[in-house]
Amino acid sequence: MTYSVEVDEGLCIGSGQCELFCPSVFKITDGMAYVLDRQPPAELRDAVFDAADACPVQAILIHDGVPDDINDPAR
Amino acid sequence: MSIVVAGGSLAGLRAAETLISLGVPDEITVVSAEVHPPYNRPPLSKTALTAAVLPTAGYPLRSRYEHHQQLRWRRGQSVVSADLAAHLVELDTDEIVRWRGLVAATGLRPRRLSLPGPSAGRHAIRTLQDARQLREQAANARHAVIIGAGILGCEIAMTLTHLGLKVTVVDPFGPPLQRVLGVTVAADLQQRMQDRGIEFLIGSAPVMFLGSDAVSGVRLDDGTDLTAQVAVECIGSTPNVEWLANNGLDLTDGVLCADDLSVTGTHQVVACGDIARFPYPVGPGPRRVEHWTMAVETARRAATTLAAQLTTTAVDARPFAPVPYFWSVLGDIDVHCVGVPSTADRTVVLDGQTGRDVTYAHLSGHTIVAVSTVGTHRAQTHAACLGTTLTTSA
Repeated sequence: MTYSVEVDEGLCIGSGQCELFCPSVFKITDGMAYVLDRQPPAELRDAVFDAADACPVQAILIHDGVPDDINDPAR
Repeated sequence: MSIVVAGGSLAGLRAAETLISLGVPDEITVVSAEVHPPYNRPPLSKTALTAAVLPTAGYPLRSRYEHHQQLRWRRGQSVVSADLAAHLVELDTDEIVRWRGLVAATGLRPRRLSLPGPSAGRHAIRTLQDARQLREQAANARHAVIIGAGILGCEIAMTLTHLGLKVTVVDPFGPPLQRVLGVTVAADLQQRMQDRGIEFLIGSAPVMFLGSDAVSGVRLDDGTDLTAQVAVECIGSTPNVEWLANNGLDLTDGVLCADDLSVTGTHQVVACGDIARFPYPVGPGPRRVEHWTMAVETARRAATTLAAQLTTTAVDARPFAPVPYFWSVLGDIDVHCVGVPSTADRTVVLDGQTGRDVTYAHLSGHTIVAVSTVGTHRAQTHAACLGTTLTTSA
């Protein structure tokens, strides 16, 4: 199933737990987590969920389907 | 047959999820004293006190298996005793539940002061209900006394200051976070918190609560009377392990585990979260680690160990040796730490400047045993230097 990932920047404290669990999708830069791949491949699904579960401030959001704004030219 | 998970907070939830993901076929009964689904505790000293609305169920922990058919939640119930040899637990509903595997994840309760005076107005924070009560009373209070300058006490002090209360922090033993981060970082943090309006009385201990029906102040051992409509006791925690008594276990400060988190002297019983006291690669002997991330890591490892005992899933033969990490949010001051600073004999500035954005190296001899940061720096970015020798002139 297609899924998409985002980080709530208002919640993120840059704990780095997400990058530990799934470095190909999450990277800490300047104290904040960034999503490298907003629609990660299916084989990374477990690792993405592990990363989200391990976030101490529960700042990682996983949605079914494609991101709402994936075709937004502003992005 | 079923698996019983005693305790339904972060560690119990993640242990149950891991058992499911490893393919353990049993029904998993999670016995949780809370009436709410598992929620995150760190906001209880921060957002829960300041947000315009505190959600009824708090800040839920995300769960990919929340409605999984193997999970049976028993909310508002507790395990009161266990017969580990007979594979039974007794609940506070008087029910006896038989199990094939048991996960002990019953967490902590706050220690409380035993002092004369009124009880109304005295608080300790562990549960959503605790936060709700403090929130309600703080709304009508002008002065607060926080007893204990650890992480929780300092977080609450900063939060109540943000809400406009005049806050005094009393600690008989030392400046803020000294026990976890040492004197150098503690001095830095104390100065920053004082700059934000918090008064510290270090070296003083409370001897009684003043007031008739409710707290109106706190008397200290040097005779000082502090005005306070709210007093918050942040003096540490007690592991909830009484239910495991009479099974021949070592229950000195939590429950003693082997390096795979199996409970020593048992079979098909594991422990995780704040109550698990496990052999640690550095420092003196087995210990409990009350960090958020450790609850998750111990839960995953404990569940993996139990799954290997119950099924044919692989045994993880490596000793459990996680790198401790914690963070704290003291108002606008972020604190992060990786490693074990308690094993250091001195602390030096690695990058930045005391009082500003700063990275500290905690050294044992010349070896970096922990890195902590205050401000916008992030200790985890230096995790790779743990165990290395500091070669700069800092």
